[in-house]
Amino acid sequence: MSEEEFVEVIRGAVRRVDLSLEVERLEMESSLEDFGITSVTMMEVVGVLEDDLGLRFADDDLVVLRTPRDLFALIHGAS
Amino acid sequence: MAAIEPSTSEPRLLLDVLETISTGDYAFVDGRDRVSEVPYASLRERVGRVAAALARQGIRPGDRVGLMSSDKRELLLTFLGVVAAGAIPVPVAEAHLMADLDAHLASCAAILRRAGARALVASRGLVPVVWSLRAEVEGARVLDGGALLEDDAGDRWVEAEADAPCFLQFTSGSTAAPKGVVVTHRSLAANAVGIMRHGLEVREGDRALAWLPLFHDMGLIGFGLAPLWAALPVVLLPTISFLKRPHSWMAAMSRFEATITFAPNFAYGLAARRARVDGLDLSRVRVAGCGAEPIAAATLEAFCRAYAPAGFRAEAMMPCYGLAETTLAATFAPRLRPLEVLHAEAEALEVSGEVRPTSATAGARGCVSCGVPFPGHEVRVIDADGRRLDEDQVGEVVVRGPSVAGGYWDDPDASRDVFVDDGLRTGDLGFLHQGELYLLGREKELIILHGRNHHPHVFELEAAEIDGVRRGNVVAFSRLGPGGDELVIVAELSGRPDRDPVERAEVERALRARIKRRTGAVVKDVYLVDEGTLPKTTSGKLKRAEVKRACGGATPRFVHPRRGPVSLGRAAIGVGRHVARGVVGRLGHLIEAREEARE
Repeated sequence: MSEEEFVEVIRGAVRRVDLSLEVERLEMESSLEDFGITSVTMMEVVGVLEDDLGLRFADDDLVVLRTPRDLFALIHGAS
Repeated sequence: MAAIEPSTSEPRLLLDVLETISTGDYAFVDGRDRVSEVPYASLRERVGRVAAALARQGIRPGDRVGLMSSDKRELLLTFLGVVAAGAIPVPVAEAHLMADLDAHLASCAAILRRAGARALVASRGLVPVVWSLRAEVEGARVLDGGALLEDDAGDRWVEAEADAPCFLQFTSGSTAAPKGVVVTHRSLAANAVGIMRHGLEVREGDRALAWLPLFHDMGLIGFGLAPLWAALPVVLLPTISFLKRPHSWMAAMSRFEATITFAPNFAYGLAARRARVDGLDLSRVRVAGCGAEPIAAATLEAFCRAYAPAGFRAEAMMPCYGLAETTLAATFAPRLRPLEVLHAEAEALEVSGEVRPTSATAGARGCVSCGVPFPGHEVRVIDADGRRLDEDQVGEVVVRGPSVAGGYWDDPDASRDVFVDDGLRTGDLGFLHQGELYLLGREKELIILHGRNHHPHVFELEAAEIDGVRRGNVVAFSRLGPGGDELVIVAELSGRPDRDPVERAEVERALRARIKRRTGAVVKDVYLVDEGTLPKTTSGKLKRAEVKRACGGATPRFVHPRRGPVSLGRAAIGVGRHVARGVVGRLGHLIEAREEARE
């Protein structure tokens, strides 16, 4: 998956969790917090990604998740 | 059940219970739905080994030991090990997703300093994260929780006095002055027996299930400790599993055939919105407890409707009231009764503090009954002079009984104000009606406009309905102005940080208009701030007092977690001046008297 495709996956997952969030301009280096993606919303987004991509993130790793790039890096460490 | 003592005798203490328990188990479920069981009968031996390992690490009786782990098995076993070593556990929130790590660690450091902690036990994954705390907390060491559990030599068991501290429960106080409630062995035992025997009436075949975090009293006491007094089997799920998939809570209730669960109001709302009922059987659920936050009848009713197709019975819904200062629970609604919602005239409730039951009309306020206290405990309502009020009169709730905790750790001044001779002054506002307790909110947060008491969450909920305002990120409070109390609202804007002044002005106009229309109140000042600006506790609650303080001067200043200090101009010119405050209701006097007493 390319970076652009990955960001689009994230945008889609965010919209599924909370339709009111505007994420068209979310990019790889964007701060998730700046787009109104709270930690509670992000937890659900991670759940959606895990189900869609068929993987599980290690819970402790999630401590340092601030941008889509952090999440992208995590996927390579997930099983 | 035989394991529960009658309420008249002195209940057994935690370590005593651990020595004799023979049935039941913890079932820890991990993020991949794998289950590992720890039989209660094995606890005596396991916990004694952990205590010995702690002693080898230099932990002595009376030492305070911080605990931080999202792994519930590790947290509970190390917690019990610290107690068996004669030391005092201090659970702190684990770092969680996207939390600002520096701010989080600063608040943990403040708690550990306040407690005078000798060590912090953290799960292996968190050890590198919390390593910096060693420098922040003088004399404290960081220990790997996993290594402690693997260290399997020796046995240590230090019996405790009933009135000795069992653990410290830090509440959501400010970072500068966190308050640690001293839960004693006696208050823990009294509350555990109250919950298991009288609140839940635990019986053969019961199984409890929760995803609640264990650094918070509802999870730790309600599902980690109190079940031991009744040998009640417990299923514990990772907190993050619920947050990732809110529908998984009820799916687990069905899968594990659980009969008892608890959560705060917000979780029932989230679970209702994400309900998936196909294939679920919730007909066994006999207690779905709700507490820790103001209870909204509409939220619980929505949950009942969402899960009724899976056999969930509405009468299983059980509102409760409690606070860390009463160990955990103070009152429980009677079991298997539909939600008891009392509609009272809002005007009388807010102005004169009288409860006048009415029908569910526009001028009525629906209040949810939180039930009755445990045997041996008393709940009363007092006025500003400490006089007991009759039923249907609003005042401060006071709780008396053996569940009341032993004060605040190392804080005699704060303890003296709250832990008084004839009970615990909760600071909560409520009334008794036909012997049952109804809560109205936190007394000290009341907003009094023209002698009328308003609960801030009414304004906050209205403001959150405005397009562009971030739901759950609004703070309403009153500020004393030249003409009396003024209503101030601080709200975070949703979406982009770069909204132009025209957009901001539109949001503000809509907000003022809605609040005027819906509540009759005029907003003096509106401050619109970017996302993530409002300060929050580790459990995500807004720090209202801090927001209020920041808005005290002419130019409010906040410190954004990443962008640094933010100064705000008023979003627009304030509307009108309030006329001098007229008749201030009795509740107003109550507040003022308390404020003066504090100063």
